[in-house]
Amino acid sequence: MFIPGQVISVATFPGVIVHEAAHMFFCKLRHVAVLDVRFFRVGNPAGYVVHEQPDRFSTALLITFGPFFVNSLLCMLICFPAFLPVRVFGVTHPLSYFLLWLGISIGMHAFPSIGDGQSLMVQAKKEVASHNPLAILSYPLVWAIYLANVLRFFWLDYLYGLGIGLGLPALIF
Amino acid sequence: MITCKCEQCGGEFPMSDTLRVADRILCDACCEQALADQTAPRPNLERQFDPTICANCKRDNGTTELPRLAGLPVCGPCEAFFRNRPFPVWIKAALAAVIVLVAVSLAWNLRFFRAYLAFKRSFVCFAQGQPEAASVQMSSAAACVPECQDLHTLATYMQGVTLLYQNQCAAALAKLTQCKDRLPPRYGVGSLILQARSGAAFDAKDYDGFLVAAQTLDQQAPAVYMNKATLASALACKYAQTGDAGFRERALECLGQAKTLARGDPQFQEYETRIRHRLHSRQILTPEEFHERFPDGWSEQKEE
Repeated sequence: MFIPGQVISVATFPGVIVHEAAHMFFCKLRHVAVLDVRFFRVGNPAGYVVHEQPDRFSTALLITFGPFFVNSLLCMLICFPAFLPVRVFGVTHPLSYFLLWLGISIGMHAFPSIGDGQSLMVQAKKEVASHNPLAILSYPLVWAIYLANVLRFFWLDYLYGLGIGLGLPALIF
Repeated sequence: MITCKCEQCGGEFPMSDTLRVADRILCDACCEQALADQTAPRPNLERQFDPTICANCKRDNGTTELPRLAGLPVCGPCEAFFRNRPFPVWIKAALAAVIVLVAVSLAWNLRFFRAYLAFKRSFVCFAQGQPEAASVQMSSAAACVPECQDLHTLATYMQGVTLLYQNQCAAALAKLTQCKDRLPPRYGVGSLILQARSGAAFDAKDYDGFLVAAQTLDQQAPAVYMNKATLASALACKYAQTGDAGFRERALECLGQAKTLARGDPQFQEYETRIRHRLHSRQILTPEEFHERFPDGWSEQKEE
């Protein structure tokens, strides 16, 4: 089923906010100047962080992939209390469904965007010239970002959110 | 502030109000004129930044150039702001709200975690042959989540099995009947109901009912030695009650088959002794009465 990206962004807006906030957090962590930030808007992109180019490639990598870990972790944390009542005992409660919506919305926006991938690729190309092994290792990661964004059309982001929010606890319980 | 001369109109303008249009410096008005011709190829446009004016707060630094941040001239306070841009209050409040929500949800749903632990412990106890402990744990799980019907059925099932284990067959029958058609076949509720029914019939001295239940059990699982032994017990009761030698013959036949299937199980040996005593004496004793009367065991040879 095809649903326009903007509708999905509006329906899962907490994920966009967390994604951009995580970008900004890692910029602040590494003292990278944040020139502009938009946590959420109805449009494309649904949110953005404009920052200066980091001096170190490891910083660029952290800023690009930081939201992936933050969103995934928050998705797990938020879905966890709702997992047992809903999935194991079949007890439905509005709070549980709210938590699942919130958690999966955040998990869905874990993947770095095409823009994140492109800016990392620009930096990686520069660094490869100076034989930075991290930059060479980042190439497959950038391709993975592109692939993940293509597969968003087939709901990969939603499946990822479901997998992290409900699949992982299912392995524990 | 640095000023620039427009190469089109010759006017003097602040540098920030000019654009570089295909290597020419133009003011805004002349730039618009230059772009008015839609047929001409669109030239490269670049807004000029005055290196003495902050790109963010527009503060004029006189003739001294400002340091650049991401290619833009930025004054000290603005650079400090960009480098340590604070998160908006609503973001901090939202994060705090999410943390509180998760904490409240964990506390709110703690009963489900307790129920889950009790549920798991119950099956461990059951697998270790401790039905009483299993029943206590499952009842505790069901009490934690009263709205979960499946847990209640499982608790009732465990109670039924425990009662059957304690030879309280009539009470076990009542509990197990409540679970009928509510649990998957692997729980063997049907077979347990028949066992409880046969025990309850024996306790009520309804030997015809005992025989019917024992026959059904044996038909359902003829390879289970206890089913054969139960049938032998029921036939022995009928022999004791009627004196019909046919029942005795069939009881001995079933007992022999059960012995072969039991392969030396000590539980069977104890059961066999009671049935043989019943066939020998035509007295129907409960297990408790039998143990009281023969604390050192019974054998046909001893009796003779």
